[in-house]
Amino acid sequence: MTRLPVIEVREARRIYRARGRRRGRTATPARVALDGVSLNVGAGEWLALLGPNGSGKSTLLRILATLDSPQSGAVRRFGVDAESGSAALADVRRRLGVVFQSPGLDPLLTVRENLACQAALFGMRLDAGAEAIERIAAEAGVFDRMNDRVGALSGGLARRVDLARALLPSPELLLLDEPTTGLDHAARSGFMESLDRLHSAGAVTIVMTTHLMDEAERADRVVMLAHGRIVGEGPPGELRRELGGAVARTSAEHRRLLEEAGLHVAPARDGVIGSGELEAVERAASALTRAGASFHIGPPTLGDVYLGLTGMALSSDGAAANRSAEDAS
Amino acid sequence: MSAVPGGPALLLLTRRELLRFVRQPSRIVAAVGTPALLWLFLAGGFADSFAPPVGAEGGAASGNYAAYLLPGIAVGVVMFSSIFAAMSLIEDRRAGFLQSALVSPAPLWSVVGAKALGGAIVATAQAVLILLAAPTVGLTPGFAGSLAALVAIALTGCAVTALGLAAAWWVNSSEGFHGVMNLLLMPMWMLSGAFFPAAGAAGWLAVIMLVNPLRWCTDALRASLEGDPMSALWAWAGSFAFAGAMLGLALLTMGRGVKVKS
Repeated sequence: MTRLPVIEVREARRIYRARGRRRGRTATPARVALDGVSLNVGAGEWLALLGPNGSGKSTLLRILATLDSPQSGAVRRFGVDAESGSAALADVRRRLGVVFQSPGLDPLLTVRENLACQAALFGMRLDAGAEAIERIAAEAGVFDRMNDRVGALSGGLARRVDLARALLPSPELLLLDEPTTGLDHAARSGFMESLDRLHSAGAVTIVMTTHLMDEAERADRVVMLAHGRIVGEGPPGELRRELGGAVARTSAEHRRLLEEAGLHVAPARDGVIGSGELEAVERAASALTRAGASFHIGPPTLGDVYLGLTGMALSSDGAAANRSAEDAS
Repeated sequence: MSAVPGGPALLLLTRRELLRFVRQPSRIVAAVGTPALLWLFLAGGFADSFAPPVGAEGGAASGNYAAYLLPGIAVGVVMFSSIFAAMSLIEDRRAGFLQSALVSPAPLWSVVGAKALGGAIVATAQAVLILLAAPTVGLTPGFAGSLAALVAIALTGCAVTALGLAAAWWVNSSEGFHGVMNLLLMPMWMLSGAFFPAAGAAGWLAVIMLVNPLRWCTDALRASLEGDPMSALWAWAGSFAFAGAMLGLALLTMGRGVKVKS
């Protein structure tokens, strides 16, 4: 399928200046947040930016959301250059829906009042806005809570209202910055399912940052970021296949056994991880069994791919949460 | 295509500020209660020992400290209220509401303007609450004087809220903002002629009081409450200039860089 680029980023660099210089020492040293990132996103595509905290994914999203701009490189959204003036910028923003890490809602206002603010900010006419608000609230399943204050809603429900807020002006591009932060497992899957439905309807391009591999799994394409650079890119299935058929995890003292079985070994948070073809993993499993070692084998996850590419874990809590969810299923 | 019209956004966002205010009754208590107590205690405490120097501002009611103090206390109410309004900017930034408004196609002036307008309306309403006590201390401004007092209070509200917003834009935490505001606004209030007339103050203090914009606001309000707003023409000019300059400063500060907490 030919996809028109909705986003084009070329060699974007963003450096945060050092701040708080005092007696020759800097409180916050200069930091390279994005180090020459280039990527395209096609219309209707769902792209996940995957990386741990500090990898640059939120900076990239803020740049795409027009809240920040790179010091060098080029960013085009809908074919419009970032520096095309305020009229062009307003036009880009009109076609953007953004969900930030913390909900863009006023907890003291009701669901309806919050959505009305959004309608006004996007210049929707009063009557059309009111109609759209009822429709979007019904779609989000919050119609019966329209007159409740957002502060009284559960975290998951508030998130759904936040998504409804972003979708109210029918954006062509939806940007989400770790949208499930602070949600429990059930609320998280509920939220991701609504994104699935949105994506299947095909009307909107989605770019989402996450450090959770099960969320990234749902996307069409995953871009892995580390230290402000793209370290891996492709559909999730393909990325996993590149790593090999399976992985074996064990403690660091048994590293040699994994290597002897012909696996590619990398340090993991709680030991070592070996990846390779299924036969090699089976050989390693026999050797580990004979040695009386405790180990775990399974299909590779995106977290394993990230670990293989960077030597870093995606996130301690995220990886652990995903693993336990897999173990339970 | 250009930016969406800012009018509806300005109205809806101003309405939001007012709704936020009525849904937080503690804000009313904090902003009106403290200055009201101060008024009660100071007016009572100095009741028999206050005698204004010859030529001091506050003509008709100048012999009565409660009446002298009232305009300054009303300005104080505006000040406390504006601090709360500006602090809500810091909250907004943290809660993500502001970020969402900033990535919308609505013009920036409508977002900034709604904060200033909402803050000014709330501040004015609260100051009016305390000014209702004017007749009890012998201040009878009449219709024109009351109207002028309302304008003076609204101007003060606009100016101080805009100043607070500009300051809040650069401060990351409510704690830091409190510090900045205490350092800036408290001395301005102390030297606004709210508590003592410039005519009887030490020379160097009187000079500072002369160039203190909050003093102009207090003088315009005092003249209005005494039923003769036109007797303070310079103070009126200064109050208008102060409000205009502070609104400009807020717009300039917030327009220059989109600074939101990530």
